[in-house]
Amino acid sequence: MDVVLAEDGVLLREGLIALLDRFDFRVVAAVGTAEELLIAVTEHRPQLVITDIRMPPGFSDEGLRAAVALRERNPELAVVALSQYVERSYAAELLDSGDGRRVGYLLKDRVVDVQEFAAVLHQVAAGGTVVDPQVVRQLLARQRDPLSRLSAREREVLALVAEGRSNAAIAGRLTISEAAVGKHVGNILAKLDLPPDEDTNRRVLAVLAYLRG
Amino acid sequence: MTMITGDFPQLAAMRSRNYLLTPAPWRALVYVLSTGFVWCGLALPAALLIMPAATVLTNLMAYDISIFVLVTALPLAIGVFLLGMPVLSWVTSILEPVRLRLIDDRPFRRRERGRRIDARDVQYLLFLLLGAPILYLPAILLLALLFDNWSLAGLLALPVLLYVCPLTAAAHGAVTRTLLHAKDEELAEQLLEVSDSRARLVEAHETERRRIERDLHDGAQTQLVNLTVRLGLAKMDTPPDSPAYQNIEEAHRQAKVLMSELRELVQGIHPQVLTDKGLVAALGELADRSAIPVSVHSHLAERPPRHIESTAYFIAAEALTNVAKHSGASAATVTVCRPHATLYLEVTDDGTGGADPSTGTGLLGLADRAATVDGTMSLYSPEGGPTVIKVELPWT
Repeated sequence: MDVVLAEDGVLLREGLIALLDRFDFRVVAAVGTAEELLIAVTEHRPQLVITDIRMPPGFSDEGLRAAVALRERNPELAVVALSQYVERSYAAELLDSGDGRRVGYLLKDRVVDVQEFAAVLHQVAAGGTVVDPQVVRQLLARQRDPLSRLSAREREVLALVAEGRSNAAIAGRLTISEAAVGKHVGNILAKLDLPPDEDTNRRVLAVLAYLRG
Repeated sequence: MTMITGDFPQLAAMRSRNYLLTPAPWRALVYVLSTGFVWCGLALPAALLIMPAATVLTNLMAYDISIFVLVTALPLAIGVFLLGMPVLSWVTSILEPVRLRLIDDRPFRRRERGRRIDARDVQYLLFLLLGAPILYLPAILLLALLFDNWSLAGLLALPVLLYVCPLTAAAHGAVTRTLLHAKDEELAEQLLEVSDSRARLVEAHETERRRIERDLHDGAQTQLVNLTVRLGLAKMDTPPDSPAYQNIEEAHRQAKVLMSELRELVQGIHPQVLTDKGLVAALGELADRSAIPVSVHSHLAERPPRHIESTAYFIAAEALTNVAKHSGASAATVTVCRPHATLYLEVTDDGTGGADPSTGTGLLGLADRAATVDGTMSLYSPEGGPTVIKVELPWT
């Protein structure tokens, strides 16, 4: 799979290239600014873009701006944005770009768990939506009345749903049966007045949209 | 003069019954005598300064002068006078406030050092040279009587002198104060400059923090992430039963711990989200990381100046840490808005209250932080709660 990587720290860029190589991604271009990213994507037409959010020249959210622009041009392009800190508005902007699929918003530190990170890249490239667990946790932590109607177990399940996990994966994680997970998910959606849905991605989007308020 | 000297310390002292037994009249006497020395010290150079001009003018009046001398010597003579007087004025403006301490212990603020000599300094010099002899006439006569013949009349002059000297000194001191003491608006100007320079200091401090944060982020943090990625890759490619595996796994784990510690550290120095997204976003992030649920209400249309922004942020951060540690609260609220030219920040919790600034440095630290940018903090924390911290920072 062809990947364009944008990261302004040279050392870290090298490290990420090594990581991507190891997991059989083909890095067709590795750049250090948002502008170069736009050019490289036009030139190489990759399937996946991995970009740092904070990049030169302004060290603000240039990477995110570029990612959103790229998604507008080509909603099929998978984008994973890496952020130094959790900023809900960043996650929201990415999820709002295109149909909300093929996007990932992760804290930069996640890349050090190399296998999990590679799995996320595959998940996003395959059409998934992945939001950093910490973002989900923070969204859940916000006091909202309907959320307080959820049991502790249901909250656990909800967090995993929001991270884009399937019923089977959630069952494995919580060591309960898949049927039990299905029941919990049904209850959660009902309590949050969301339509029941078996499609994992649509479910994630619905839950995230709800949490964002 | 009575109006001006009405509250002069010397005059108040004179009303006391044991006045002659106190040091006050003697200090006044020393002051009056020293005025004589100062006058002599000044009169000579003043006479020298005025002499060339006087000579030229005298000759001019007698028509005993050539045009050539007139056009060269007269401007020169006047120039000497005009240049010399400010120098003498400068000497008196420094010397006289020192001498004033003999008779007046109220605080004296000389006008700003390094400023230019102005009309008031010259006026004082002229008063000293021309007005003082008249003012001192009674004292001079009494002194002459005393020293001239040590007769009974002379000795009787002494107690009178001890009352006349303070009056003379008080009048002189009042003139010194009127002409050489900084006026209120000048003081205000100096205070403004002090607060300006403090603001510059806070701003410099703020810039420095951001620089340190940027350096750490670009340097140590990025390298550490790279190192940890490499260790993660090495761990993956090492067979779990090989002797190296455990070491690599442990190194990877420690690198991750170090990463999160470094992130916390950088966060404490200057959070990136504050630089990038401003106060409201940073408060939101702060609320999200808090141990108890915190809701943020903000009504800010624009970002405050950077030093105000970071002061408000660090106060809120510290206040929320206090809430989590001490209040026993189950929830807290942070409100920011901009009434008029003020950034208003309020942190409220539903805890047990009874917060006392004197028991810990935390709350005082908050007030200090507010004070560095000319802001104020007030605390309302009755026993049983709730606790409300209100902070107002100037935002012009």
